[in-house]
Amino acid sequence: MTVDDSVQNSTEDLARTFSLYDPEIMRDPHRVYDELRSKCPVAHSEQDEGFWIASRYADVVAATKDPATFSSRYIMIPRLKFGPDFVERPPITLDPPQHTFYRRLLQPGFTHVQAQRWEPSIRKICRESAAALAPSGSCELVDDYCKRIPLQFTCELNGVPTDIEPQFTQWCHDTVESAEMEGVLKATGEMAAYLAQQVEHRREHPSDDMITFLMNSEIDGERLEGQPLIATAMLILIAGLDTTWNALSSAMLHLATHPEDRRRLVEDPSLIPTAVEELLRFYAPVVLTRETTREVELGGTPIPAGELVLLNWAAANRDPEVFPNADKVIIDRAENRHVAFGTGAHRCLGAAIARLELRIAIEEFLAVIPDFELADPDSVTWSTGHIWGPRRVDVVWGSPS
Amino acid sequence: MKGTVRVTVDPDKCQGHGRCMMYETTMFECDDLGYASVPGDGTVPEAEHEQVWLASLNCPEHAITVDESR
Repeated sequence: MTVDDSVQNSTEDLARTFSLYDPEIMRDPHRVYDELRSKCPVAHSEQDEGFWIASRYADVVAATKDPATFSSRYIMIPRLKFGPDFVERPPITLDPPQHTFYRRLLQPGFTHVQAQRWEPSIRKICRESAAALAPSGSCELVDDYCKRIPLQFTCELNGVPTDIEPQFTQWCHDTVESAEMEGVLKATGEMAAYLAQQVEHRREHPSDDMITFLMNSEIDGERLEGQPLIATAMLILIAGLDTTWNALSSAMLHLATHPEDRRRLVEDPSLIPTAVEELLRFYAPVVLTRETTREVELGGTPIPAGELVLLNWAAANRDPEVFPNADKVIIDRAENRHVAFGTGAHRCLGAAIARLELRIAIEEFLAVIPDFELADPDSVTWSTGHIWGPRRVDVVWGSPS
Repeated sequence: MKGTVRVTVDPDKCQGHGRCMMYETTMFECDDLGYASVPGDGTVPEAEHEQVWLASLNCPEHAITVDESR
């Protein structure tokens, strides 16, 4: 065996043993992603029923633009992650042309211009959350701040009382973070029942919220009803929670551990939107799969029909072919064509709202707590699963001068 | 003499990421489906040159072209 062969073999071993649910790997998944991207950009893992991993920007983007070959029917590992009743979670698990119907229906509620109307409510949530923390001198950033923002905002967006927040958190954990089928089924069942109740209530009492928007939207005389309506509402509920709080938690952890970047944003808050994009690039939280509908070659590697392919936007975002100094956070990076929100027809519907939450959450936190640092670097823990970010970030700060 | 700067969005490439909408310029508009277009003939006021240039550098689809003529 030559030296080259042994390098190749060890990279293939790394791929073979890769699992999104392995806590050791997910503490630092980019260690694996970097190796795969440079040596084996389309690799195969034997874990979790087996799947392929695409890590290069060009390959990931190409796959998302060919939904006839890379179907969204199964977007998570394992395939029946949400249980047999929720194989279809429109629109995220649909391909064109069915997907196009939903996208036309939903997109008008989520454009950049529409998103801006939520700025005052997001601002209020962030300002109050940060102000409540400031006097204490310490907090656990994820639970005490980063989760609070999307949780409270999701209640507002959906027009439901905030006392449902702990329930949202639990549902979110059970469906996305955990691979325990029993918990997934229980959570999806409870969520469906809750949303059905909310829908019924709005038939008599329509309001200016997302659930009412879903009920009233119409494309070519068709409205959402029954199971597709509930499944869509469920997706909108869940999709904006842990995605956003993981992105925010990573951003805040970065600022806690990189005082030079933090000071630049404190001194010049107009840099925050640019910084948000760079932090999204570097700490992209979401990776999802597609299923091949036929035998296909991706990046020169043949993949059989009926296989799951993990489209690794996180790895693509650190591809040195596309980003100079890809492995460094450059807080004012001018050219940044990152794909943290995905590409192709399924690019994130809520991206404009997420950007708003991230920007304002950072602005408002830094405005009252400009200096903070990790209480104990060894206590940081990380999520597993399709949505990646820190789970525990204990920070301390001095009293305001 | 200053040259004229014009911007165009290729509708076949635009996927509606909305990145261009984040810059402080009036040169991009988006429709209900999030797709961007350029109003008028695309001539960029001098004060917006940098913002339009940055927008073009951040479009994941390379859909924005900035042309400088002299």
